[in-house]
Amino acid sequence: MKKISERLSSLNTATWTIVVLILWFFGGMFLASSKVYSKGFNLMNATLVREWLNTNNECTLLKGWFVGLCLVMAFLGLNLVVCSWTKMLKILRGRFTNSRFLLLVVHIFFGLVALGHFGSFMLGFRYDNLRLLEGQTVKLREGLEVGVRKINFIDDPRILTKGMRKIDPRKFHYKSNCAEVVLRREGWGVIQKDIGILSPFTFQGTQVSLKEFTPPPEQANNGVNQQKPGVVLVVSNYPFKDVFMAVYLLMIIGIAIHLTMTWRSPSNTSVSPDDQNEALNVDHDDKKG
Amino acid sequence: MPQYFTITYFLIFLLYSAALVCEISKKVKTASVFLLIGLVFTFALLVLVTITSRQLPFFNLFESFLMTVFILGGLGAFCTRPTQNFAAVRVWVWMEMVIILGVILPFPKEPSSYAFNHDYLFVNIFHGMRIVSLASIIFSSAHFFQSFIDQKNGAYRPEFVHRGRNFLALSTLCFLISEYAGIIWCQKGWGDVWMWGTNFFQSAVIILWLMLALHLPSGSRRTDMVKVIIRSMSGLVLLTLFVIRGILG
Repeated sequence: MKKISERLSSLNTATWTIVVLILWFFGGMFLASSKVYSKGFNLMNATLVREWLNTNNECTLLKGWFVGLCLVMAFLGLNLVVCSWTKMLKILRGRFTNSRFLLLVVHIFFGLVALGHFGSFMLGFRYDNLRLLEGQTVKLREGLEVGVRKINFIDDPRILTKGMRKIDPRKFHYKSNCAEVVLRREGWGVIQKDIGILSPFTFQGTQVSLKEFTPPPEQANNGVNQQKPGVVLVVSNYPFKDVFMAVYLLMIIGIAIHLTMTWRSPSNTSVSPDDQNEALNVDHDDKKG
Repeated sequence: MPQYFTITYFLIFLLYSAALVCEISKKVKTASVFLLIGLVFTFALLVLVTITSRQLPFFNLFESFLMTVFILGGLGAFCTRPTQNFAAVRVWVWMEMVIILGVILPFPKEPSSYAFNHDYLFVNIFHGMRIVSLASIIFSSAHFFQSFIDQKNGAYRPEFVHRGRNFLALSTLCFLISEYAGIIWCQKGWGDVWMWGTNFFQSAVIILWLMLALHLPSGSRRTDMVKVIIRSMSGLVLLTLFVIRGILG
């Protein structure tokens, strides 16, 4: 049992798991750059992965790739947990310096950040690419609906025909163009707010983002104003978003402090930072190479 | 205007190449003079690019690699002074600068076209910190190259490994700050912290590579050698991924 836990917490295990993950993401890059599978990834982006996994789309390979990714990440997580536990015991025995303790905390934060990413695929909800025109409303879930009351587009709508990526920035003032959005839900009442590109609004964890403007429709449709452009909205909710952002920031701060603490040359320090790194994953077999 | 960019680019290329040749032939003072003149011209070109495009020089390969060369040159000039122990690293740094300038040779010598979100703070932090991260890891690689040569010759200078590790960790820190800004950008723009696509996978590969370089075990001569090789390759890996991203857009 001790041998297994030593193996699980070793640097060798961590190293090889990271290598597998790198290869896995290279595989993902290869899939994402192919025409066939890029559509599958777009479907993944359009909703939560939890829902995407349950749909009957023909993305078996992508599903396998995703499950494989989760398994490798889970193994890295196991390595982190076992390793952190071993170090925790060392701390209790008083064998840790401040920088080593900080390094342990940073590793724990890293685990939480990875978990936070996983949570964002599985928790809350996400409705991507909601194409709406002025006056239109769409029902989403549990009495939640979103609508566009007014679109204030000050530029010439014809610039939108090329698509947002190819838009001439001199003719498009993204900070001035906005949409008046209405969010309704039982118990919330009616929440009305102006949103723009990169300027969403959030109410009780539900965020409404304006992804892009679309050119005005060619034909009038149910009395919809055909002169005005439409909008593409994203309605999303990730309950742990603020916690995730806070932990990520703490991880960065922790790394910065650790780097400052260990910046001095080895002649001035008794333990080199590399040794400290290994102290978090000590395995004597590893050291023998 | 584009001809000024091209002329200045070739002038900078010549100046840094001259600095490299002088450093190799042990004319250290002359090398420093060429380097400083090169840095002044690089700075001037970056200012010109900024004024012309009315945005920071972070976006296309030409301007972002020019920025990388400028930071790298600054690090080389001020952190590896000839009187210090790290003088041996200087040749590698000048060589890396010439290689980076060589990489942008086939690309148009002009500022990136203005995109509407290029004045958004988090977009600028995202791109800017990536450049700092790239410069830092390439500087780190220079230390590991020298360390590799030393170890091959049976010598071992721990201060090189330590300094290399410091800049490797600094690069990781800068890359994570860039990613954090990217998450805020993604969150504000699309209400998510992650998207499934090539660019995000590439960022994940870079973070994992940095993790790998920082976590490699050591102890025996063989593992130490592998560690130094992987770490010295880190600059090249990031550079390649940045070029791929720059080409694919």
